[in-house]
Amino acid sequence: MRVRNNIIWKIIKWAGSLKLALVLVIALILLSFTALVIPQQSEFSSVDIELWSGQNSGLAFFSGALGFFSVFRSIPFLIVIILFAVNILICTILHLSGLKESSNYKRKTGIRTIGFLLLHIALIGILAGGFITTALGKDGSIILTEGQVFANKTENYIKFTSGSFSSRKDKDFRVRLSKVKIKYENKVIPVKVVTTLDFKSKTEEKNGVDIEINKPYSFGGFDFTQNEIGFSPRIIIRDPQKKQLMLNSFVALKTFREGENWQYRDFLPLPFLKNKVILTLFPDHKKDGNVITKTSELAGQPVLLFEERDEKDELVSSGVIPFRGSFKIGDYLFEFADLRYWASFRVVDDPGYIVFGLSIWLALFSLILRYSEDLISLFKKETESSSLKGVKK
Amino acid sequence: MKNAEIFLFWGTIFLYALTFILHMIGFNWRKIKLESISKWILKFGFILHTATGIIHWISSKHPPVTDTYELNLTGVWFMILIFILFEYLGKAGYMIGLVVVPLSFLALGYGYLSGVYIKPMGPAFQSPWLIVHVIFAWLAFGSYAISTGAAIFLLLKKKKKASETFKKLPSADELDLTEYRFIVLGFINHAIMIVSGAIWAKKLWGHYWNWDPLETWSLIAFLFYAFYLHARSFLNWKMKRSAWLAVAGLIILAISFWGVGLFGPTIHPGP
Repeated sequence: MRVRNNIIWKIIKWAGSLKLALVLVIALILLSFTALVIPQQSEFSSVDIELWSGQNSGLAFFSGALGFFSVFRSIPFLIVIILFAVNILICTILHLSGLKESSNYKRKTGIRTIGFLLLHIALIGILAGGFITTALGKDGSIILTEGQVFANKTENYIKFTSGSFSSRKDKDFRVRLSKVKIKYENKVIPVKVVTTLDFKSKTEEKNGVDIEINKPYSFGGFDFTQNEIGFSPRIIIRDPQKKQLMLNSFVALKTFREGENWQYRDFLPLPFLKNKVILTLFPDHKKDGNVITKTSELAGQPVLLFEERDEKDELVSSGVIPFRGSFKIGDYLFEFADLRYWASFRVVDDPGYIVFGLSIWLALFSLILRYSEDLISLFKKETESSSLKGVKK
Repeated sequence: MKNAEIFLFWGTIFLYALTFILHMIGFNWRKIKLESISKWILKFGFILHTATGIIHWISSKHPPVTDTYELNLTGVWFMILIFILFEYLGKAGYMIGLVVVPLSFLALGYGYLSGVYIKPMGPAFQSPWLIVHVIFAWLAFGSYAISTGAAIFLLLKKKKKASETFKKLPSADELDLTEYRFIVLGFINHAIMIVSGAIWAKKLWGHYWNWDPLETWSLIAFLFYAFYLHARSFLNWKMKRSAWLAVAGLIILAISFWGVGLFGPTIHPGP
């Protein structure tokens, strides 16, 4: 055919070739390596990324320009994924239409061909679903202390990413964390965490909705999945001399897990203090001299350890505040007024999930169909004459 | 209970190591009897391995699929199971055990070094998809390991100065077919592992796919094996070329199983 010699045909053939597929696989491997080497926005805080950028200024410049601080949302990655979809699509069409001269591929049975066709349609579906979510979806994280209300505004999220084509307008809804219930085994390891949420929008209201890890809830087009939990002590700081209230707030302490040893601590940014203050909570404790040991993860007799540290991270002063007690640091009186749980949630708008979800099932089914003959032959017992029964004597 | 488990665990390690040594001697010096003794020792080791898993399951009150020790214990069990099964069916030559068995006790040792703990199942693991995900991950690894074993022997046989021992191996065609069939089996198990993981991830993290390093490496390995299958079907890459691909595939998969944690933080605990 004359048409097969022109430049367009050559481009089509190249776009559906295995050589391009190999190049794309290698590109994916390199991009994944990049994501392992360069700190990702999804895993590291902006402070950590800035610190890393200061130490690796050259690499940071290129990373910033190419969007490699979020590799899997970067333009190079999207190009690779789109090329993959094009490659699979063209390759499928060429093989099924018989236009491609494949040396070894023979359509032995109908099942294999159907499997091949469905599998490649499913792969395109998977890529399309992923692309819809990346382009139109929203993904945020929120932290709520018991009793706190979250209003759905971009600036209220702790982390927030949205697709280039997603709606800029925030949906109007509110979420309130009313309660956190945790069941511990041996007072140490949490085995069940239930958070109760109240949802409210202009058209809908749902109160007392229980969410657990692995059991998400959908409201207003968003899926709410429960993530981390921790403690939020309420800290009140007063200046007794000036009779001034300096702070009255819940502070969500970070939860650090080192095996079974969980620690609840964070540093408290106080603009009126020269030194930094680090808070460590012991939900339940025993005191042996000056040494405090945590005895349980359940809030029984909680205490807060205050540490004031200078620029060189050396300890200036420290003190232990019992629950509903107070302690003086410098000119200020610190009060441990209340203790509640906080819980973090991932709030996701995933518009591609139906396409993606159906496609992965279709892919699995068609893959089994495609290789059904090989699978059946694998489970048939070999005759004694086969040399695979052992090494030839 | 823990002492019994430790005793059985070391018994398993010892028997797998003994299997390997006897098999190696039998294979190298053509001692057929030693080879058949090693087969029985492998089966006995597998029984001890099963008992170790059951005791750990009873002690922890959940299937051993949550931490590094448990994942390696369960995973290696599935690896040995499919090797014994397919060796019985005549689809995997017993000499492939020279690759599968040392891999198994290395994985068991790695798991043991991470620490043996009896602890309850955390909320994140309380999903039926966990079992599916873990079982198929290891069935995939086991299948790929058998395939790599066949590929290694194929490469040894095809060497210009191959020794008499390797010349007496099953024919290159049969080794090539074994390698291909087990990659197909591994590929399907790998696909089930990824699909079950994606469904679980949707419930746990809100997205089917989170581009976590471990997820990404697993996908890279999957794409690599997809390339293997395509290269075989459409480019006629067989024998030595496909054997090298099979060996490289297992290395990529091993990175996704054990190596990813070394690179940085991951939300996905691996073996």
